[in-house]
Amino acid sequence: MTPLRRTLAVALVALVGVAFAQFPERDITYVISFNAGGESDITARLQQPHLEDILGVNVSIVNRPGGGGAVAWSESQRSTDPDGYTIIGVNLPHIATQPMERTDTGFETDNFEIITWFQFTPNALLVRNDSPFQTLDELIAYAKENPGSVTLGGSGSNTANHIAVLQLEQFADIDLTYVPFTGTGPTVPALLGGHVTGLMSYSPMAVLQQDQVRTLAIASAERVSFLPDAPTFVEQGIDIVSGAHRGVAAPPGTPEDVVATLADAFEEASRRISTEQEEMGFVMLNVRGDEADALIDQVSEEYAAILETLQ
Amino acid sequence: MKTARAGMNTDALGGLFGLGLTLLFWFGRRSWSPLSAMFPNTVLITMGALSVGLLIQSLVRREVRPVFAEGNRTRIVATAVVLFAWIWAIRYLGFYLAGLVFFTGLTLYIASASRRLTARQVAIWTAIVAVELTALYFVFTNLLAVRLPAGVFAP
Amino acid sequence: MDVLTAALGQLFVPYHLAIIIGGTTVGLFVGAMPGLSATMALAVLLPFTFAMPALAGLIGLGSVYMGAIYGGAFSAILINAPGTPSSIATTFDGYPMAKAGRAEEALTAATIASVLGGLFGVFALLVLAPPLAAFSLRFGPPEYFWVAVLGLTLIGSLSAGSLLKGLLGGALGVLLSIIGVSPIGGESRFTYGFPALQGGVELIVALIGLFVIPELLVMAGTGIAALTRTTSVGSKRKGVMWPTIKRVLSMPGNLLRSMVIGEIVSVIPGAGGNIAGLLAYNEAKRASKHPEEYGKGSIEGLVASESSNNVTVAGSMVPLLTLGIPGAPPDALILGAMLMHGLRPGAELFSVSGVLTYGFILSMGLSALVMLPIGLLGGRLIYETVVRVPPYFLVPTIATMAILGSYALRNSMTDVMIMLVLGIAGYVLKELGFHPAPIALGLILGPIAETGFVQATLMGSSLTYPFLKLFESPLSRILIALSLLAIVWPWFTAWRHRRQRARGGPA
Repeated sequence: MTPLRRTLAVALVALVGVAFAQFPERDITYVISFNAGGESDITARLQQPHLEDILGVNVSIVNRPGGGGAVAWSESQRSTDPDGYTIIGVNLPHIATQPMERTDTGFETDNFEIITWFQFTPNALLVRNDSPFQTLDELIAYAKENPGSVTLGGSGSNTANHIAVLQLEQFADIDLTYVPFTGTGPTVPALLGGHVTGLMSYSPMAVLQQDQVRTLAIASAERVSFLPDAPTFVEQGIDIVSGAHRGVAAPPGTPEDVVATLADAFEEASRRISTEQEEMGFVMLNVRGDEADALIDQVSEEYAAILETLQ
Repeated sequence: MKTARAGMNTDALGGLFGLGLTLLFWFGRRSWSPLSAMFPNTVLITMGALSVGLLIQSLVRREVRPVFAEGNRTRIVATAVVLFAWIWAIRYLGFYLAGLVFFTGLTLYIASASRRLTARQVAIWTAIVAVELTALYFVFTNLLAVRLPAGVFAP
Repeated sequence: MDVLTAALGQLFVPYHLAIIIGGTTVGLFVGAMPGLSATMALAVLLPFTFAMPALAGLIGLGSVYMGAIYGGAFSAILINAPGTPSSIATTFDGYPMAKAGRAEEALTAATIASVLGGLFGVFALLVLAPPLAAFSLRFGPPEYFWVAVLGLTLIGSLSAGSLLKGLLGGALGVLLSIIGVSPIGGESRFTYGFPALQGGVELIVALIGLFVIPELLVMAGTGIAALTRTTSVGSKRKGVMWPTIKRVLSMPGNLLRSMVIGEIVSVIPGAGGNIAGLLAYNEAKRASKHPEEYGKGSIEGLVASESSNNVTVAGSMVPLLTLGIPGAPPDALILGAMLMHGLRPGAELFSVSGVLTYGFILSMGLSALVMLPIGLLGGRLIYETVVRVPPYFLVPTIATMAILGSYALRNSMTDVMIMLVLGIAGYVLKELGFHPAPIALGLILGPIAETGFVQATLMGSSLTYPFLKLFESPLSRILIALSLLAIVWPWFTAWRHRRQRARGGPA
């Protein structure tokens, strides 16, 4: 071979190598912006073995909690390489509402490369088994006569739970008192101990506590398979379809094919764990591409409208 | 330095510290909703009051006690500075390299206070430090799945 | 009873016993490293438990949890670092004991106390779970507020020296706890434009800074390792263990009181081993004939802290197994493992899956027993190592641990910086007569107090005066009475002392 030919050959091999270099070539870090043991964390650890199996590399979960997720999200947008090797769990409405209510969240709602939204937990209105309220109508009627005395606990301020309570107040023309708790965990003793009238919580709670609570209404478009007897808000004439979405994102600027590979992997992982997940009260989704961004926009608009009426 | 070692009025200093911190945080408040503002306001007012109380006590009961008396002060300050530099260096050198540099440095610095160092000792100690750090690094990254900062020399 | 025998039978197979021994040992190591929390260890293990049979997985998680809470005592005693927040109170007397050359005694006492505490917790879980769960539900937001207030009264006895400085330290701790996103309202406070500060000051990060760094600086300054060896240990070695064991067992009142406190605190979701340890320590001091020894190396104080905090492991399982309420972060991971295996907390767990559930509960008891040999052997091993390390290696080694620990908790270099800044401040404050304990107390109780207070006023928003909600329930009133008593008590004892002295009695 002449030197020139050799150079050409090497260059060709290199080119082919680049073109065929399969993502992923090394370990992937999956950042969870909440504490170990939280729902986001446990879901990720469920996916982890399957993702490793599908992608063929190690996937390590790194908890980076703080600021309701904001610390890790701002880091992802500011100082993470957009190569797909560091991905991060994202939550709606959190990424939409936090920049609305705080000045220094450090991240922008639209500045994520959403890989996929894989999970949805609709809001659910729960009361204790021995509560006098058998139906949503009864609760609304009571609240009409006694403004402010129905207390509903929920997870956090300006969260999906909070907004659903505000919507319920608006649509039913009643006055409720929303009591935010620090996460879903502490809401349970508050309800079971009778410290609040009811909870606006998420569907997994309705499943987990089904022996002790009654689901008055669930905020999904149609009834859910895991709680077939729980009526929706819509069928009771209150037009609330809302909840929290869980997904995964890459830093802005990550190549499209990398995002697609990851999305395929997550889709497959979700499929494999879907039976267990649905039994636990999660609605499985696969919203990716433009639809994923459209979902963010839709949720942002809805929440901005409600939060505006607050001020 | 000698006069300082004789002692200070710790009540006065503590009161001033508390008052300074109260002011720093008082002006760090923003236009929060009542839900978020209620508690910090209460705490800051309490803290301000306690600081003033301590200042008054310092005037009434002028009690002077020795402070910073234990240990060589220069070495304490130097160690504190080294710790800051260490943490700052981790961002650039990564956990392992920064550890190697500053761990060894600190060892030699503290040891030099009580004994003369030979080249042989320095070499052995550096090796011990390297082994210890390698072990820690391995345990954390491989067994505990903690991603330690790798710095600019990361692959 | 049949179900208990069946459950016990299931445990005594090599596979399960190996998991218990291995899990406890791993937990011990994790707990002994400041910054490595039980939660983290359980999270790393969780995916493995999905692939294991349900009982084996739960046993693994339970024994790691048990070992970790106990392991915190090691670093608390040897380097003044609470390995887990649960062992804050262990540092008060454990470290002074170690400094006085009584480290082995302290480690032995901590081991015995932890084993007894662990067993007591399991016993209570077996026998009293339903009534305890019902009791735990009586705590709503107003009651939580008063629990925090009751906790803050401990400042009185924790601030050695000036009460005013203790109170100021407590306020400082509460102030630090406010940094970050507000629990109710969701706004960021005192972040001064740094997004990373939205995460606030994590308790264990602050603890590492406040407790470890000052000791480290002094050690660097004096060039002398804090731990000294008692003279002629070699000949006396046999002499340390048995007398210590006897000594611990000779205080049944202290043990029982501390364990009951641990049980009560741990069944209240959200109040964990840290509060239990501090409360038990305080009560032991109040009841003691030698309160002046506390903080200077009292074995009673050490036993109080360690026996109460190990009760909380099984104690927090009460609300978890009966009601599905994870009272502490590690419990949430155990709940996750249960759900993945199709086990839902509640009455069915004790009937339909009884053998499995009781097997899990009993395995925690076994794990507590396993701590005895591992702790006594491992304790001596670690002690012998630490005491032999010359100060010029010990200082940078502890610094490395502090950096690793504060980093690993949230994978954050910001936390490392917070640790060091608080550490330096803590050193200066300590020299000025501020003990770190009240600051830690403020950090722990600040968020509980704030959340409870704001929620209570929200709950009462249909009342004319919303804050009256705080005084509504009988339990609230009991807690208020206890707080008042705690405030008045020191004055009362001082008065009694004075009167005794006036009469010419013993001072």
